[in-house]
Amino acid sequence: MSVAEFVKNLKPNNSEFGLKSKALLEGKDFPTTKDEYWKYTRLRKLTKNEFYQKDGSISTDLNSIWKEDIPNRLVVVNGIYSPELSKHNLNITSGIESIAKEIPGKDEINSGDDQIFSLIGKAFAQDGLKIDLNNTKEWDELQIIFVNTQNGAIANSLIRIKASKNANARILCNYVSEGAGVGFTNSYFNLETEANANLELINLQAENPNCFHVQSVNGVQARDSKISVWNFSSGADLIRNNVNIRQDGKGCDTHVNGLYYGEEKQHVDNHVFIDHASEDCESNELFKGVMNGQATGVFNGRVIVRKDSQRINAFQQNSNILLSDKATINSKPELEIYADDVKCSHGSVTGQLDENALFYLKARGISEDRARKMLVSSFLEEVVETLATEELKNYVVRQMAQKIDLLDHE
Amino acid sequence: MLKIQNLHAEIDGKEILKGLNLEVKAGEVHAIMGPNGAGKSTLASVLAGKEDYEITKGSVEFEGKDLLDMETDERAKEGLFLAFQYPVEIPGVSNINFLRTAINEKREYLGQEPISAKDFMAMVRERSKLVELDSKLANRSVNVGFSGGEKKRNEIFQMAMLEPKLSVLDETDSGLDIDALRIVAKGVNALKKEDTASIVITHYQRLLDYIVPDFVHVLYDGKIVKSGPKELALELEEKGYDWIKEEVVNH
Ligand SMILES: Nc1ncnc2c1ncn2[C@@H]1O[C@H](COP(=O)(O)OP(=O)(O)OP(=O)(O)O)[C@@H](O)[C@H]1O
Ligand SMILES: [Mg+2]
Repeated sequence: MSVAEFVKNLKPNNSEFGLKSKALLEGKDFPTTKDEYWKYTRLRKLTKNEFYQKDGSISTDLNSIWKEDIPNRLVVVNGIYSPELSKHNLNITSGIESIAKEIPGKDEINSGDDQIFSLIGKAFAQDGLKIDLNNTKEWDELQIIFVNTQNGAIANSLIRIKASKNANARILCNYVSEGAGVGFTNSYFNLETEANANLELINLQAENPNCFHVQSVNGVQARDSKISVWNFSSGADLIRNNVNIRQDGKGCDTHVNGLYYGEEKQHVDNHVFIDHASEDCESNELFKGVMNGQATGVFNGRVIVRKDSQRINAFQQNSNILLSDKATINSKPELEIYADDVKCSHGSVTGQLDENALFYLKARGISEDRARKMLVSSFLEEVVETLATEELKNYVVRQMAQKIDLLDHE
Repeated sequence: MLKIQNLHAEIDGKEILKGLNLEVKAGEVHAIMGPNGAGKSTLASVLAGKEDYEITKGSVEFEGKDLLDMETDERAKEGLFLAFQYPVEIPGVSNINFLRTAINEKREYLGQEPISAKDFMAMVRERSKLVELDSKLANRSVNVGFSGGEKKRNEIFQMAMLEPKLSVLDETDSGLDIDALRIVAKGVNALKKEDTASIVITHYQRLLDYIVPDFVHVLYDGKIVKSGPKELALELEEKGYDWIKEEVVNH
């Protein structure tokens, strides 16, 4: 299907990079399962709908979502920053022009995928956020709630985050939706870490079942910096996450972790691309999924180690549990190694819930339902454990448990 | 307490239990011996409610209720405990959390308040001491990285925590050295009361020096083919099972 047809109701922004992006979309079609990086993800259920740019007031109870101890709070409704609902004391500017100069028209990371959705976001976003983080003494913490009001809303959000030299920052993003009808959230992040900066981005995708979410995270790291991205996916009918990180300086560390749950006909797709473009760097990926009903999951972990990138450690693990025999997982590592002093490992396991463990728990008097929850939660725990603080771990499990009946929580 | 009548059970179309009868009264200890593959573990699994087995005939009554009609967890809540021959490792589920969940589910089932954290921890300390289980193990994932002997002691520790009416110990003694054997037996004996009973499945008469049975049964080819006093165990140890097999054939 043509992109032109899909965007026919949308008004482009008139920023320079917006127009450039729009020009790049000309004559383009959406990728199909014939395209290498879309092999297992059919976009039809998203692209067959009509979407409109909307502003609007919201009725979602944000208090049930705010993580109490985070002082800085932003709300973005249908891609548009809402200053009335936000409060913060960080260096943040909004407006499409705020990021126009900092985001190039074509993505700077060549992940092999032509990034149609990033281009749509850049061409049709109505707003943008530029977040500059420079706290070198302690952690800056920021929470952003993205609300999609459905009824055919498309929420294109463009976020540019820069952590300057030695800065430490943790950004928690919650995606929720309200209302009837379909909703599409198309979010784009541009991350940059200067030397020795440490940036964490935690995404909680918990939209309603008739929503769609495509997220593209593009990060570039300078020397000795660290970027960690988490994708916790427990909502939406179709989710596609692209995390593309390039290590430009020596001594970088990159962590990309994810946890996903799908039921009924949900589809969750995580594509991660790590470009080891410098030496003495490390990358770690841990993705775990539980698929129920007729849900389908995809994990694709592509890692390139460039010719002169010596002393690289790159680890990747994807494990899945299928709770029904109609659920499926497609898991694929792609390692392209051109340097010789490299330690790489990858593993992929897909299995069922351990029936013997289930029987053991039940034989001690634990109900079937609870026993299943204990086993699912313990399986997913490994990913939750990679979060920095106990409060954050508890928060994430609590939020996810609202969507996943199978999670055991206090 | 337990009344098994003419029990037939099969798995994947193969009949394993072929008309088994057994009655256990409160306060009694029954030992079940028998050659490999006779159906001892099958009996234990069927009692605990493992779904892989199909019961084709017979009945099991537990404290006057139809046991076969209950879900596995319900049987446990009613007071049945199975110490597994091969305890399962469950990564990520801590021994302690799992036990507290089990105890509280049982208490809820019996209409009791949940156990307080303080009482629970005191109980953990006391009962782990009873079976000399390192208290560090209580905090680890269920059976993960436990030695063979530690797994068996963990079974008895769980039994001590859950205070069942009827416990079925499936070869809890195999793989144990003599000290561990004594410790496990001590645990079992300490929990023995007038209103509890146990079924001890074993290949070795030496366990029965420590846990003295009131009756010894021989399970062979899916049936109890011989029962007797504790001396029967000695005779079996000495003569093996061939004479019993002959007796069965000649019958
Ligand atoms: N899935 C199965 N299909 C067919 N036969 C099975 C299956 N599972 C178990 N059996 C058989 O059932 C029989 C009884 O096994 P069981 O484990 O109850 O023996 P046991 O008396 O406990 O032996 P041991 O002393 O070796 O522990 C064995 O012959 C075994 O091979
Ligand atoms: Mg056995």
